[in-house]
Amino acid sequence: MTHLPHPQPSSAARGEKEDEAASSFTRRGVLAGAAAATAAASIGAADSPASAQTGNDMVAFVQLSAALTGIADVKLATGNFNATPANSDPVDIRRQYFDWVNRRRPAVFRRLLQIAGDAQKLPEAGRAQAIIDRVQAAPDAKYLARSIVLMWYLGAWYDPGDLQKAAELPNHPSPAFKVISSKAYSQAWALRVAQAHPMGFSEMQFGYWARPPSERPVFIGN
Amino acid sequence: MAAESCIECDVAIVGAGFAGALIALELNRDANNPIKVIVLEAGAAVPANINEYLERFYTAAAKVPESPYTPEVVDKDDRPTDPSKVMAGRPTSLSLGANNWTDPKQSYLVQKGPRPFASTYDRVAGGTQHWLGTCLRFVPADFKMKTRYPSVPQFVDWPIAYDDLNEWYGKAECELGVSADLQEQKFLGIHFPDTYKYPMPKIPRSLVDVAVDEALQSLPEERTRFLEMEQPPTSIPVRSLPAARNSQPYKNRRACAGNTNCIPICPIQAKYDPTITLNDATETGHGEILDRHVVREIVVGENGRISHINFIQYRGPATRGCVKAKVYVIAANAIETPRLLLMSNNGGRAIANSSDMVGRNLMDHPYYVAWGLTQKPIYPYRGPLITSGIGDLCDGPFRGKRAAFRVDIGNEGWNFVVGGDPNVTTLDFVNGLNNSGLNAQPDRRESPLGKEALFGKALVDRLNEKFTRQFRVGFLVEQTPDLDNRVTLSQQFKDGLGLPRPEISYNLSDYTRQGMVAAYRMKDLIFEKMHVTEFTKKVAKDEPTRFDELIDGKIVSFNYYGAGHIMGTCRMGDDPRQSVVDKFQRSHDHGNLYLVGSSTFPTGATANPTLTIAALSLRTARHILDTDFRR
Repeated sequence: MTHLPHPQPSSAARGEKEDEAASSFTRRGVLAGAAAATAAASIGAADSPASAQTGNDMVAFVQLSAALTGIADVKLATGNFNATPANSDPVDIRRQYFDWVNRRRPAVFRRLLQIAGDAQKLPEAGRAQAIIDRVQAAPDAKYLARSIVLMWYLGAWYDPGDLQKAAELPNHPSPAFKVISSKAYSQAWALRVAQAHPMGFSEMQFGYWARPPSERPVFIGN
Repeated sequence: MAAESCIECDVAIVGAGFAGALIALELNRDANNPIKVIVLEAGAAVPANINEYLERFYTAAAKVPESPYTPEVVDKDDRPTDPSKVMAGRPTSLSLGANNWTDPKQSYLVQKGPRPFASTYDRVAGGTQHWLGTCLRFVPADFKMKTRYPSVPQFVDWPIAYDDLNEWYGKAECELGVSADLQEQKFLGIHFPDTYKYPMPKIPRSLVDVAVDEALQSLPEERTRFLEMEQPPTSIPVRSLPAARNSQPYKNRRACAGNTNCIPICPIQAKYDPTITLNDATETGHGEILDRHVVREIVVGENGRISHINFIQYRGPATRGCVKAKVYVIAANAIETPRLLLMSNNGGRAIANSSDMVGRNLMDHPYYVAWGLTQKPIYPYRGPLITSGIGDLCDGPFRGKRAAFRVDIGNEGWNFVVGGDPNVTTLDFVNGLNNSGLNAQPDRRESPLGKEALFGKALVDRLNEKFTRQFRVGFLVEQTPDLDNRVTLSQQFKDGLGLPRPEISYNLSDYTRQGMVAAYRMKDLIFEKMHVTEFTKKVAKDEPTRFDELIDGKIVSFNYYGAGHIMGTCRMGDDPRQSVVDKFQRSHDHGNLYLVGSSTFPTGATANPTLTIAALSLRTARHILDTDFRR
C-alpha cells in the first residue's frame, strides 16, 4: 500500500458534516483543484516514449472516459494530465488503464479515441452526449466502451467479447473479470458514485458513518 | 517417535487462534514465574505486516472471507484446489456450491449431508483475523437451557452460570479491547460488576442502524404477537454491538476509519485479532510459535495422562517430531480438535472420548438473510460492516418451542447477498443485465437480460439512486445440539500430509427451522415498517441449503449461510458419561489435557462465540496456573 496516497487526518472540526473527500484534506483533493484550473492541451514529449500513446491520445482517453463514466475528468485524472512536468498525478491510474486497453484492443481503442478527439471541437455543453451517441452507434466499439467504463468503476477488466455475449445471448453466464491491480481496486469509482468508498479503502475518519455523506459532486465532480 | 527425543516445554498449545493465543499470554503474566509455552500452528507463520494480505485481498476477484490469507486453497482462476494436495487443508466458501459441496476433490470437508455445513475456517492464527469483531456476552438464560426450556430434549445446561464468567468476560473485553456502552448492554439479564467500565466508548451507529431503529419504535401488539415473548413488544430497540474494534487508540492501535471491510481484513488493524496477543506472548520471552507444525497424534502414557504429542512439520520437506509437556491444550477449532482426538488412537479408542461425545453436537448459527431497497437513501457501504443489531429477542418463552434468533443489520448494502456488489449492480446497468434484480424488464423480472444499458450521467444517477438505498438484514438462528450432527474421520480422503480429512454429517432440526420461520416473519415486520421493497433472490431448486416451510398457507423456500461459528463437538459438563470436558475445559479422561474454544459449548445461544471463548480461555489459564503449576 505504500505506493498509494496516504489519507491524512481531517483538519475540520469534529461533529460537523465533515465527511470524506469533502474536507478531509487529501492530496487527491488538492491536486484535483489544481487540475481543474488548467485547460486541455497536449503533453507531447513528456509522455513515456515506450508507450504508443501521444499526449493527445491521453487527453482523448480521459475525455472519452469522463463522457462514458459520467465522472468528471479532473477526478479520473487527478493532477494535471496536460501539465509540465507530466505525472503530477500521484495516482496515475489513467496510464495503467490506457496501456491495458491499448495492448488488448488497439484497433477498436483507436476508433474510440478518434471519437473523443473529434468531439473536442464541439462546444463543451454537448460534448459528452455527442461522444456517447457516436459510441452507441458503433456496434464494434460499444462493448469496448463498456469494458472501459467497468474498468474505471470497478478497477476490473471485463472482456468486451464476453460482455457482448452476455448482453446478446439468452442465458449466457455472467462474464468473469480480473482485478487489474490493487491500485485499480482502491481507485474504483462505483462506491464513490454511491457517496462511499471502495470496501477496504477508506480515506475517511472515525465516526464518519454516523453523519450523512457529502453531496455527490464532492465525490465525483458531477 | 520416542518421547525422549521430544522438544520439551511446560505447556504445549495446539492452535494459535483466540483460545491458544490468549492462554499462551495469560500463562506468562507473572514475569517472576516463567512458564515455557510452545504453540504449534498448522498454518503458515504470521507475517511481519499485513501488506501481502491486503495485496491479495485487493486483487482477488472473489473477495470471500479467506481471500487474503490462503493462496494455496485456490488456483490462479480462484477455483478450489484439490484438498488432497494441501498440507493443512481448510474449507472454503468457494466449495459450498450446488455443483461441488459434496465433491471431495474440491471440498476439504467430506460432506455427507443431508445438508451442507456452511461455515469455513482458516489456519493462520486460527483464521481468526477474518472475524467481524462482535463481542457480545451470552445472556444468563443461554447457560441454563435444559432447566429453562425442558420441553426441548436436545438442550443441556452448562456446568457454569453467567456469574461464573462475569469477571472473565471483563478480562477478555480488556485484552481484546472492546468498545461498547455499558447501560446499552444491560438487557435480558446481562449485568456487570458495580465498578465495571468497557475499555472504550461504543462505536457510533450508522445511518442504516438509525433507519431500522426509527421504524421499530412503535409497533402494534398484533404485529409482534408471533414472537411469543412474555408480552408482545410495542417497540424493539436496536442496540450498538460491543466490538473489539477501537473507537479510540488502544494498545498501540488506531481508531476504526470505517473501511467497511472487517471481514475479511481490516487494513489498519483497528480491529483486534489474535496475532496481537501472539506477538505479546512471544515478547514475554517464554512463548514460542512453531508454524506449519501439524499435530497428528496425542499419545497417552501412565495413569491416563498425556505423555507427548506427535507432529509433522512441513516448513521444508515434511519431517516428524514430538513435543513433551506437563500440560497440553488443544485449541484447534470445533472441527479440527475432534479430528485430532479421533486420529489419536488410544488402544482402539479415541482420546478423551469415554463419553462417545467427541465430534457430536456440531453447531453453527444458520444464517438467514433478506434484502431490499429503502424508499429514501440510507447510505450503506460506510462504517464497519455491522454496527448494530437486535438482541432483545434472543430469549423468551418461545424458546420452549422454536429457536431464538439475533438480528444483525448490514452496513454493506447488497455486497455479499448478490454475489459481490458493487460489481453485480454496476455490470447490470453498464451491460444491460439483471443479476441484481434492479434492472428488470417490465414483466420479466427473472430474465438475466436487463432493461437499461447506460453511459455517462444517466449511469451515475441510476447507480447512485440504487446503491444508496440498498438494505440487508440477517438473522443468526440458534441451533440445537444434535448427536448426529457430527465430525468423524473420512476413511477414504486424506490431506496433503496423508492425514484423514474430517467427514461431516449435518442437518437442521425442526426446532431450528422454526426459528428461521420466526425470523422470516420478523423480516416481514422490519421491511413493512421501513417501507423496504424486497429483492431477496428466489432460492434456486438445486441450492444445497434449501428447505421449504409452510407459512400462513404459503410455501416459502429458505436457504442459509454459515456464520463461521463452529461449536459443540467436545461439550463441557459435570457428568463424564455425558460430556468431554469439565467446567474448566479439562478432559474428564486425561488429567493434563485441556480442550478449549467453542468446541466445549454445550449449547450455542445466538451471540457470536468469540468473547465467550476468550473468557473461558482466560479462566482455564488461571486454572492451569492454580492446579497444574500451583501458582
